[in-house]
Amino acid sequence: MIEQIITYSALYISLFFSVVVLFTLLSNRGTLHSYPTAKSLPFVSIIVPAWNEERYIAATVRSLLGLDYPRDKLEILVVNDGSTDRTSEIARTLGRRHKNLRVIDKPNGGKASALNMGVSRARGAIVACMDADSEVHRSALRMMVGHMDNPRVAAVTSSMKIKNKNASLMTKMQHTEYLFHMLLRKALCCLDCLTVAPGPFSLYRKSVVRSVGGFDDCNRVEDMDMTFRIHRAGYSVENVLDAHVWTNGPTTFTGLFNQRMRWFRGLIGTTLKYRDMVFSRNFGNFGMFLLPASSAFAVFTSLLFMVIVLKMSYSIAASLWSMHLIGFDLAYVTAGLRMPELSVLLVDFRTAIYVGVSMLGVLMLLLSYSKARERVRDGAAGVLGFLLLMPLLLSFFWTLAMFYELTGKRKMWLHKGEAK
Amino acid sequence: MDGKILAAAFAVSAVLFLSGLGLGLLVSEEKADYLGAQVEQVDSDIESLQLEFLLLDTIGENATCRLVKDRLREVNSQSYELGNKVGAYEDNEEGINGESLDLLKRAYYHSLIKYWIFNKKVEDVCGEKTANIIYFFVRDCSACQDQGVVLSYYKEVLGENLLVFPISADFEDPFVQTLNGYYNVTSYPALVINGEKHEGFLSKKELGDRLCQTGQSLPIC
Repeated sequence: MIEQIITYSALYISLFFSVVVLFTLLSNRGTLHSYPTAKSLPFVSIIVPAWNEERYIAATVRSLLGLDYPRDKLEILVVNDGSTDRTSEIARTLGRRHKNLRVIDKPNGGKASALNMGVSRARGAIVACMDADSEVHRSALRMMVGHMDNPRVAAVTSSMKIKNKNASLMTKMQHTEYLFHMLLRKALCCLDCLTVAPGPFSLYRKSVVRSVGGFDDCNRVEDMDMTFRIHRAGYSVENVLDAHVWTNGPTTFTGLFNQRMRWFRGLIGTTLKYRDMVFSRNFGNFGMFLLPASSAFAVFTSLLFMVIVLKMSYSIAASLWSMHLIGFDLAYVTAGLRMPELSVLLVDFRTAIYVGVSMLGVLMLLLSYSKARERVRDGAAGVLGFLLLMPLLLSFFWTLAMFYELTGKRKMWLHKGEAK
Repeated sequence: MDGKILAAAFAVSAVLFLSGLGLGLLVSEEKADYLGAQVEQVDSDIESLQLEFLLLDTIGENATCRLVKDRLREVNSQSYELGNKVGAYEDNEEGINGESLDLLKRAYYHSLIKYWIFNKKVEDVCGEKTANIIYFFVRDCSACQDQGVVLSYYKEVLGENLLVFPISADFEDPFVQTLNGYYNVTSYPALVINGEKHEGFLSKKELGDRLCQTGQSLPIC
């Protein structure tokens, strides 16, 4: 009975979420790729917090220097957060040749503290945050600044893609996942429901960042925390679908695990921190739809994962026991593990809804590829991994994140930490 | 505008979900019908066998015994498979389709008992016995599940040389209860191996030994 409630709830929530996203995309289909052109280009300060990024910093800074934006309206601030490698030196060498590049050295204090330092030194009314391992499309900034003409907008997000997509199966899967998220983020943006203006290239209105108290330097998901506070202050977060940014994804399971633990625990922790916004009409769709729906999704995904793991372990144990009863006579395995006849008997209504939800997912995936102007057949391994492996991995991460956050294990709200 | 999207999405997903549930119920009904048709098939096989036997008995053909026994064994395998399917249906769809399940089980057990009676009659007339086991079990009994595994194993190994009649003893049906009372079964699992009752779990080795003691020439002995 409990198992059925969990399964049906998880299925209904996924179905509801998919339908919301599809409806939103349909009703905004004419404007998904459009963005407003700025009346006059504002001065923009791009902050690059960097902690031991000697491998990537040069490419990141070069991509920023290559932006299609007037030199006299752009400054780049590399905030070296106490790196122990050559990050500062490499950035300074580049700075000697480019007047609008400045390097600020500070003792290590975490990414948020580096961002705050950058905000305090920035000359522009618009600040952009840029992860030190990412690269940006040369027209991205120009496409994004137009939104800032609207005084209700406090942040503009880009569309992230994976830079090292051919490094491993992990990054291939993430490539597909990021394209999927690109579309999802656009849909959520249409509903004014974005939960995070991600680290790799987001624009902020400096006055709003200051008025909400700057980035929280005790928080490892400072970008998410900032986005929640922007919604709380009554501002909107926009997205430009074609403003592409390429970022490095973790190449190993452990890397992905650590990253997702940070994201998921961050979302749970931040939602708990701002729980008064959940079901609050004052915050529109963000309070009434996104926070309740994503919380319910996280809870039921974790529960469903646990149910599946328990059932699988039980049937494995039962099969082993059966094999033991018949003395491990392998010639007659089928006596212990009966395969169901392939017939109408296999179908039940859970399968029908599973198939329905998966088909909606595949439909959205195809749409993501078309909106991102990529071809599915170019990354078949990634697509397959994303469809077959990623749901399992993500539910596992969600379950663990839930467990850690609720039991308060391994606290992740640090006072000091790495910059990335 | 946004509110409308959410409301529409909520309504549409609810309709989709409920149609999924409705479809599921229809499918479940279909499954019961499908199994019911198979029960009827086995039932009519037994009836035609009975008729054939009576006819040949009346005109006094001695070759009849061999013929009927071979076909009896064949029907037993079909009926055993069917029992597994009915059991799987019961496990998966419990609480969904109580009435269909009840009818299905009743039809299945009646066919099984009919078959058992006929088998006994044939044995009496022809004199030659096949190894056979009446297996009484109840739900929520882990030893019964274990016994089921061991029995399935022997059914698989011996095929048509072993006749198994699995009876769900807690099923409310006068015929099932009569059979239960006839063998005076008090605890489960219980096995009646060629007429000899044993209560409690029999391991692979124990059951193998007892099957060999029946004096049948079985490949495991």
